[in-house]
Amino acid sequence: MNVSFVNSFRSEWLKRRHTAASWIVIIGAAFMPLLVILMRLQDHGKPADKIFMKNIWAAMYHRNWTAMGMFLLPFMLILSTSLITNVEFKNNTWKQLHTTPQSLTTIYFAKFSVIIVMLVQLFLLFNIGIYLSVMLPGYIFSDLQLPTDPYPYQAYFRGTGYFFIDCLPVIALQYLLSLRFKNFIVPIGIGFSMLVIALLALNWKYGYVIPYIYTPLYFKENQNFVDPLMNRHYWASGYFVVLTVAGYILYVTKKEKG
Amino acid sequence: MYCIETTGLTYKFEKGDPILNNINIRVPEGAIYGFLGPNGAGKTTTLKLILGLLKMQQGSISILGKEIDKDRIAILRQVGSLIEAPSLYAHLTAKENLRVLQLIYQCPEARIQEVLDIVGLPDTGKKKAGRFSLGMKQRLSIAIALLPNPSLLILDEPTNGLDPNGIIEMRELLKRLNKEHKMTIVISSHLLSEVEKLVTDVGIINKGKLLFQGTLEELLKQQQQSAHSLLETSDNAGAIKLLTNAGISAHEEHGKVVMPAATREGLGDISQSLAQQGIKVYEITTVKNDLETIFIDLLKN
Repeated sequence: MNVSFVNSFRSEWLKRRHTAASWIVIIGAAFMPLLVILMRLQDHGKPADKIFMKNIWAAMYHRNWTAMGMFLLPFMLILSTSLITNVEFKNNTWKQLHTTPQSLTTIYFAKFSVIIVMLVQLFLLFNIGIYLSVMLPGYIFSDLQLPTDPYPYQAYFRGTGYFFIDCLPVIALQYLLSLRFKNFIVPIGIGFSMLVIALLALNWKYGYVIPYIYTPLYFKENQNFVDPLMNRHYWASGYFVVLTVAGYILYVTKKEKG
Repeated sequence: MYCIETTGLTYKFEKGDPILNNINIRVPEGAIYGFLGPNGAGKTTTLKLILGLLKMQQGSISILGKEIDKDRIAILRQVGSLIEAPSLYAHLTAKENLRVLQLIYQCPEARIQEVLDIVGLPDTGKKKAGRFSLGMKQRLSIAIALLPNPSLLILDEPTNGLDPNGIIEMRELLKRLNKEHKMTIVISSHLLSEVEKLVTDVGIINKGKLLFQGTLEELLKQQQQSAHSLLETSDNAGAIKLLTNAGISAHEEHGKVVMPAATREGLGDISQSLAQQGIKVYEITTVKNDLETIFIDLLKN
């Protein structure tokens, strides 16, 4: 990897310190698992809890990811991508950044990489959260058995990987929009509108053409509403490539750079 | 060799007249170049073009012997800049702000404390830049510009927001950097009085045109040349004829005879000669233009 890219990435990574976006990652990752833990503690001893105990790893995965993928995850991605990119507009620092000795390509991809690494960070923390949502209640209540099956890391890793791919179009489009508009309300507004449209289109046969629909689609995975021929991960990957290239072209051809 | 050399620099926004019209700037190496002009004259646009923040439309820009459109990154490695308002990450401390750029410039980490000491912000602790006063922000911005130990420092209105003491300190700092570190400095301002004690060279721009460029001495010479005497007489036409016959160029303006400034002795002789010809002299005034007046006159013309 290019040395200037690594330095640029480290510089961009430092900028995210103390920002709302960095807090969104931590709070967003902890929110659902914490809620699930509280619900399990509240439901302790009830029939619902016993159903979960039968295949607790799969049950907890599904329970955490359903709410996360449906709304929380795209919501967080829209907010954090827009906020992290808006740091330069908000602080009037584009002109400073563009007079540093680095190419526009380096700046574009270093900033974008920070957002992607933050997403990895979110998923890592979220998976730790799911693990704790399985284990913690068992430690608190002695009558709640701890899972006898080993941690299904392969299935979890694969599932998380698919969610990661499904998130990429949202990040790419939010990044493109946030680089264009000084007022961060614009990309956030467009993002939320797209999310609402995606949620409304969940039952539509061709809903998969909407780039914000792929994580909410997890909820419909086993239902027949979705065209069975489509593979949402391919669509997400395609959108990601197209939107990233479009964002790059728009960024480097911008007439005024500060 | 010129540190900055622009040739035929012309720029216009999509609609309307050109913002810059055939600007040929020559900044000698080691100079402190005052780039002067009123607000909206085209100073910031010129500096943005020089730094590559605006896409060049017409003309060429050479910095430290290299073309900006060909060697942008190599040039920017040797240039420190502050354009318009301070560019700081409000959520980071002074040291974190510098660290963000130190990582890119790859200068030693010790340089962060060095530049903070230079600008008089040695210890601001955990205070975020967003909570700094405007003067402190301006100092931190200059620290950022100094971070790569540049050969060329470009400062756009750096004294904005500074109190009189701060302005004096800034002036001393820039003089020191120029003298001790052989830094070429371009400083833009809309006030000549603010930079006349600092600069060695001057460029005056108005409405996108460069009206004057040269050393401060050349500007001072122009000041001496533009000094003049005004005579109020009973017969201006007769007075002008007499003066012209004596080899002194004179003309009438607002009911007074205008002639180049003369010494006290000279004025006495002229007064006597006019009286001998029956022309009464009611008043003689000598106007010595200061630099600010020349600046304003250049802008008016």
